[in-house]
Amino acid sequence: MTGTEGFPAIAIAPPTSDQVARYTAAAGDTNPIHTDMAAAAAIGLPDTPVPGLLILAMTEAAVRTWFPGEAATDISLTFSAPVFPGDALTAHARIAARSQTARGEEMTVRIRLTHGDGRIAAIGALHVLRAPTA
Amino acid sequence: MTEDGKPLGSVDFTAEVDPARVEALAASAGLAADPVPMTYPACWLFAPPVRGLVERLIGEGRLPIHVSQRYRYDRPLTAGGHYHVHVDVRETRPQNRPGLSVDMTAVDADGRAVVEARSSIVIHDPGKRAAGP
Repeated sequence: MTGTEGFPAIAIAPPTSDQVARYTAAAGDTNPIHTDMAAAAAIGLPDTPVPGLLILAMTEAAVRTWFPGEAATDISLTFSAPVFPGDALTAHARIAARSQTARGEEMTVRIRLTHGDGRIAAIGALHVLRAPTA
Repeated sequence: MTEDGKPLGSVDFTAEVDPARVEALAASAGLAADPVPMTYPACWLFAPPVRGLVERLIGEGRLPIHVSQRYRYDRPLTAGGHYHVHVDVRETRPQNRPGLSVDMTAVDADGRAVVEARSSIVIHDPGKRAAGP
């Protein structure tokens, strides 16, 4: 991707309720809003929201596609709209800054997740270190 | 990461990067398990000492919603490695709503910094207002 400021958008497979169940079981997340419709409804949501932590983990998979073999040292997302099972998301990335340091090429990358209708689901940032080649 | 908000409590514990848990978390997110995912420390947020503190601070009958999450690394996690984890919880108002900031730092057996994480949580009181994100 050297020489370009944008990266190909990546379609994230719509998360499923089974996937949420497997993630929350593995993580130890017992928040009922992610699995119990009544709990989600109690706070005004029409369905059980996908955990933000799972969305960030799924975004990490996109990051590994954008930057294979390179070291990401910082990743963050702020969630602006709920994501529900079955929602299609697209991950977008563009380089906001890059510099050469003693460690190699360092890049700050802006990340955006959008719903199928274009609404922003989350925005965030990534810091990547591309080590010098021998 | 800068510290802001009223301190509400802290916990310390030792955690292992459990290879089986790495596999399970990675598989559920569509990630390879090697290297250990950057997002693995999510499970430390639900370790009993942290969960106990956060649940006590949130209060019975109220529900947390994650509104942002960050992980910043000095060096990668190692599957099977053991880490000392320190967590500070502060009172904040993310998105101008009642909430908590959960700040976690992990150091390795040699005392070297490994990862910092910050979670911002909004506290919802069912029946009082509609949820945000």
